[in-house]
Amino acid sequence: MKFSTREQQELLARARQGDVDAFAVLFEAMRPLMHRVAYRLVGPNDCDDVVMETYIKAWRALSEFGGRSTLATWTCRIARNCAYDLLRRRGRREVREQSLDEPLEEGRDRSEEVPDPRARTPAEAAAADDLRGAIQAALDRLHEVHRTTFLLREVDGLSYREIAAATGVRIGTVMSRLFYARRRLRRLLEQIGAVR
Amino acid sequence: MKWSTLLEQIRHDFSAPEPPPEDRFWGRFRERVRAIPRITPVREDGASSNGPRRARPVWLRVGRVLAPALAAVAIALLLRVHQAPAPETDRRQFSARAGKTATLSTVEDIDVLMDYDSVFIVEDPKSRGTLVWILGANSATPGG
Repeated sequence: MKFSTREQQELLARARQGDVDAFAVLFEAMRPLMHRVAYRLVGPNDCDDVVMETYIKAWRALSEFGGRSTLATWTCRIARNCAYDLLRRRGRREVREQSLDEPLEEGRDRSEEVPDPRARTPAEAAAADDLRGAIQAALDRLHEVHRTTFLLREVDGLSYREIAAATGVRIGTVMSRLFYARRRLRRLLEQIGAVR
Repeated sequence: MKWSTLLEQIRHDFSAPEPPPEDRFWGRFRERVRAIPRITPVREDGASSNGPRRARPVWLRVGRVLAPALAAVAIALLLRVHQAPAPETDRRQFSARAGKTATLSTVEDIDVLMDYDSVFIVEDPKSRGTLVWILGANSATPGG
């Protein structure tokens, strides 16, 4: 459900005054988007908790929203922080936020993830006539941030700005990660004949 | 398979699951916020705190400072024009000093009690009104 600027401003004003109903109307429209962001950042088991924490924080800090970005972008930033907080609390592997746009040492493809030796390769999955498995195996071979960026863009339909807010990088970095991800994924799938 | 077709396949196979139902989510949310105070900054002057104030544009800030001075000057000029003798001609004369006959809707003299960069004068013969814009006024350093 899309709101006009005036409708959004009215709902924002009421929500800032403590109207939970107005807050719910305003933020329900973007809940599927936040759910997708949380799902990509923390996985299926924790994404509901992350969305709830995100909305609680947004409710408490709504007066700090100054309109310099869209409400969705602002909320994506909160969702990212909540996701990282949860990952740290639960002792999950440290979240890396380094830039992947810097040149690497020669011969190494920055977009490549070190594969799990137990996991099926794309070729093995393709041989088993399992296209979905082949795609999954190829996705697993992408670097985590490339895979997340690719899925947020191509599957979840987020804008570059929303992805930048959700992953804590600049828009240019989002674009370069997306470029690497598409190129790497395409090459992997071309090797097994899944794409031409 | 073409790349565009493969992307469609990926969107179909790897889409995120649906979020929990609306009523269940918001029911939990309402329970949680009932016990949570809002972080709402309160200004000491008691003004409304609906979000951070936006910086006012320069022209508005300058205008607010100049407005009282301009109003005073405009009123003074209107009084001088009103008290001027009946004009024989309708010609406009600027900066007319003592000894010259003031005509209708004429600025005879201007006294601005502050330093300024320039003056812009608008006259309306029909209403006999005169509007004076003083640019770059500095009320902190009064001049003559």
